[in-house]
Amino acid sequence: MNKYRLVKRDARYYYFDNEAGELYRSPIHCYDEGKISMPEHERDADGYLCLGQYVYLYIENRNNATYVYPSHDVYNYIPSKRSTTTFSHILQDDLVQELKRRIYRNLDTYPPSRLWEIERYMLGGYDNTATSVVQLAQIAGESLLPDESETIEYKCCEVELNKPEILTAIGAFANNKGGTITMGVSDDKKVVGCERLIEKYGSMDKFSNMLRNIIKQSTNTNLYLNIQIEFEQHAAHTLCHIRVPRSNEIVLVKNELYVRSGNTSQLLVGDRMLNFIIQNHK
Amino acid sequence: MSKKLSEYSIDELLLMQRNKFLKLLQKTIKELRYLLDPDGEIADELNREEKTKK
Repeated sequence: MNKYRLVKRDARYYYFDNEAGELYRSPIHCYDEGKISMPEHERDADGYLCLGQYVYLYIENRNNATYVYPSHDVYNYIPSKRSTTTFSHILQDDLVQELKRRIYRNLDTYPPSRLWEIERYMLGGYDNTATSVVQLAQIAGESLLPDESETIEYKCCEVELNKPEILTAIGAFANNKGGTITMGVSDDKKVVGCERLIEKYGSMDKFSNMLRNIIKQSTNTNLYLNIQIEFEQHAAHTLCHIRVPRSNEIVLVKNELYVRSGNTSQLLVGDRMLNFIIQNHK
Repeated sequence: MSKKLSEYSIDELLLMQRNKFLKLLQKTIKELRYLLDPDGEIADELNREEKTKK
């Protein structure tokens, strides 16, 4: 049983051991039920333990998980969610672990202001939810998005809906293995969102209808019927995923044939176009 | 006897500020390392990688 100072309280409690220099986070609420009261000066108006006060904790390892809860012997604090795990739960999440690994590796390269921001966030609002992880990634300037590839393409929000880049990518994906175009992400994987485009068209529904219409007008097949348009909330930004399936027919965009080569869409002309058509559609 | 603050030269003061800042930075990095990797797993991984590189 050790003595820890309470440094933060929201959904979780944080305990910092000054001597050992260790921080513990525990999903429990310490409060005074009134039967055996904690000293007046250590208690706030709601009956919770004040920040900066010391509490005695048990730290126990059971079923490969670390449990932290306050001692009943010292103060009569009631742990309300005693069975929730702490660290091992966080470590199981691949995404969180990958982000932490990247930040850990790059700590020496971050400017001081960013270091303090990361620290503030880690001690403050950080929990294991997706929003929290995305926010931490943004603060750290790390991107959790995969690289552009044969099936993934990013388009910035500055691009107009009927600009050729999106349409050529759609055509190229349909002629290859299919793929996903994510709108609202710049080429260097910075999330910029496509709120401005959505605003321009009024709503997400109108935006996706408009997109389908443009695809319908520019292509020669019924590809627009099979395309899925999904929106994803990515921290403060909205991303639009256009999922293009592989097409059985050759898809021409404005009468031109595009194919995917690595992470770029390429125009095929002449013999190359003929060869592609013969090879793929006998 | 320690010097009063007014007895220090500007260069000395600047150096003190810088050292203070660097110490704070080192402390922050240390704390962040702990926050990111309380069980030392990432650190172990990095060590292992470095060994295989050598």
